[in-house]
Amino acid sequence: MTPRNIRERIRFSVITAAAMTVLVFLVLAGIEQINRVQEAMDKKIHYLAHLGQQSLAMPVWNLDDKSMDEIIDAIFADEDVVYIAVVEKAGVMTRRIDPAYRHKPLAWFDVRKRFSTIDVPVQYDGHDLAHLQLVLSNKSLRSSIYRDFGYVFILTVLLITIITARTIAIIRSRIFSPLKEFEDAVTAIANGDMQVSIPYADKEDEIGRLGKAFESMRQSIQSLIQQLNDTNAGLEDKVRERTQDLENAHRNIRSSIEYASMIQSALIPREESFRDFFRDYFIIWEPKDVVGGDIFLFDTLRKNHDECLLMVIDCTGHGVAGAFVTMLVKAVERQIIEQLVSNDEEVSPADILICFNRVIKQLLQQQDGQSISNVGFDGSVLYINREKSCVRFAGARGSLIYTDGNELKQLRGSRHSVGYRDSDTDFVFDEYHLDVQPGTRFYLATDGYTDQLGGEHGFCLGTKRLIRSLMAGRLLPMSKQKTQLLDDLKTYQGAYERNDDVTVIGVEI
Amino acid sequence: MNQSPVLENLHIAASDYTPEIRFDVDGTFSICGKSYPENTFEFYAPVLSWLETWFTLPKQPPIVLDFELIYFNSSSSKLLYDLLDILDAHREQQDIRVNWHYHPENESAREAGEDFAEDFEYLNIHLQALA
Repeated sequence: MTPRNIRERIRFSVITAAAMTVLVFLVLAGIEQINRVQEAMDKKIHYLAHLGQQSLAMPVWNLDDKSMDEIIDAIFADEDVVYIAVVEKAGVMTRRIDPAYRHKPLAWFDVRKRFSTIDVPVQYDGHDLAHLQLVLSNKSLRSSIYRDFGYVFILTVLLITIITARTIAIIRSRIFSPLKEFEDAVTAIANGDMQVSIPYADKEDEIGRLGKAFESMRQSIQSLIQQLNDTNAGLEDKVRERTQDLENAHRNIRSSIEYASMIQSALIPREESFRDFFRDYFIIWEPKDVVGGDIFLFDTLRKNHDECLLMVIDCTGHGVAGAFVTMLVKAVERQIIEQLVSNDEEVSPADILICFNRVIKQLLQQQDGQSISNVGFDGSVLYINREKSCVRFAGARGSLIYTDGNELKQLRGSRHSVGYRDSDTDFVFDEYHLDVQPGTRFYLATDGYTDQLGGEHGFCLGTKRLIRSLMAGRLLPMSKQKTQLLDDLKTYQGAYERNDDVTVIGVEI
Repeated sequence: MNQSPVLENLHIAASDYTPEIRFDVDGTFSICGKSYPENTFEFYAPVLSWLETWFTLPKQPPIVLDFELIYFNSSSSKLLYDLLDILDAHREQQDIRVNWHYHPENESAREAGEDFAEDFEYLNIHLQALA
């Protein structure tokens, strides 16, 4: 089984090391003890043998059995001596054997390690008289040494156990407990609590150094977060500032456009002039934005007030860009009218479109394909002469719808726009001449109305719908007809947004 | 090796105001949706220049251009005119077919198709009412 974490691994290693230490100690100490026993036995046996040799010499010489026995008994009294004998050539003179080894011959002891044997001569005056044979058992020495050894062993085991336990306790209290606390602190930081206090940062040991490093890391992170928060707060201020700037800019642009709208409205003919000239009329002029690219122009010509020019013009785009072009158109139109009036010319709507075409191309330098701008207009020009009961019409992609009260007719203008880069300078617009009766109604419109998206499929409203609506209201007062047209448009448009400026003008002569 | 221009398929996703445009190098072109961008010239400039580049490729397969426009404003119509003009200039050496799809109830779309067919009488423009 492999320990699954560092703590168990260290405990495992420490205990193993302690056990190994005890084992090695045992082996070494054991060998030492055996040597000691052997040495002690050798010493003792030589000492006793020497003692016996010296003291037995006289009694053996004198054949003094009594003294001999006393000496032998004295030596045999030693607890280690298990066999002692004095032997001469004729046989055993005297002998003592431990009852435990009765009948054992001397040779029996010789071959056993737990006994030491010795055989020394007993001499007197240079003559060998007999032999002293001595056998010692190392039993008591051994047991006393073993007892000592046991004490030492127990002490050693006890000591090593205590050291091991202490080591483990130190490792636990100095390393693992701090690690656990670090773990808790890191977890707290990971969960966003930067205020957590880092343990052991005041200690001087390794853990203390780790704690210090950790504490300085915590402070760095905290100050980083603080900086981020500060930056964020700065950003929020900046965003607020920018938003304010944008609002200001928007307000400025808005008020500028509203002012432009006032100017554009000033270009739009006054309703009184319509009221003065026509029996009835309506005007729908609704720029998609505050200003627009649709414009209509109305001028009575000469003094008799029987002639007028009505133009409905759809300039490129809508909004401010479209409005710019309407200004230009208005300026060019003033020139054209002045020229007409001063020269007392026959009025030709086609010529007027041709004139617009050339002047706009020239003014905006759109004669060649290289110019940057490419703007112009689509439009319808209607000339009415009440005195002669005639009208003339020319269109640049614009139409004239008219009715005598019975049926509704549409005259489609030329399919050619005015002023654009690829508009032909020499293009001749078609011109229609009509004889008309009083009560005839004329309608001019830009494509804003018919191009409005809506209905079931999101298609354009279309010319057919416009014509149907005009047809249905051809006998209504024109203010009513206007309401009807606007209602139809609103209904058709539904949830769709307005996609272009819308202009529809209706007049009755 | 020929120094032929590297041309990727041109795909422009539809927006509220602009159509989906898919011009594949293999000659399959389509323009579908609505077209009334705030700046028409800016929107169509890459389409026109892509087409010009396409005609400079060493080998050009036949063109099939499918229109399915619900609505386009007058300035878009000028740019579509320019686009058809480029095709018209190559009609002699190129097999070109233009399909103008319109919904039967979408009168303006049909009329616009008719106008283009009239303006480019030599281009192969087929009006096809959608089922």
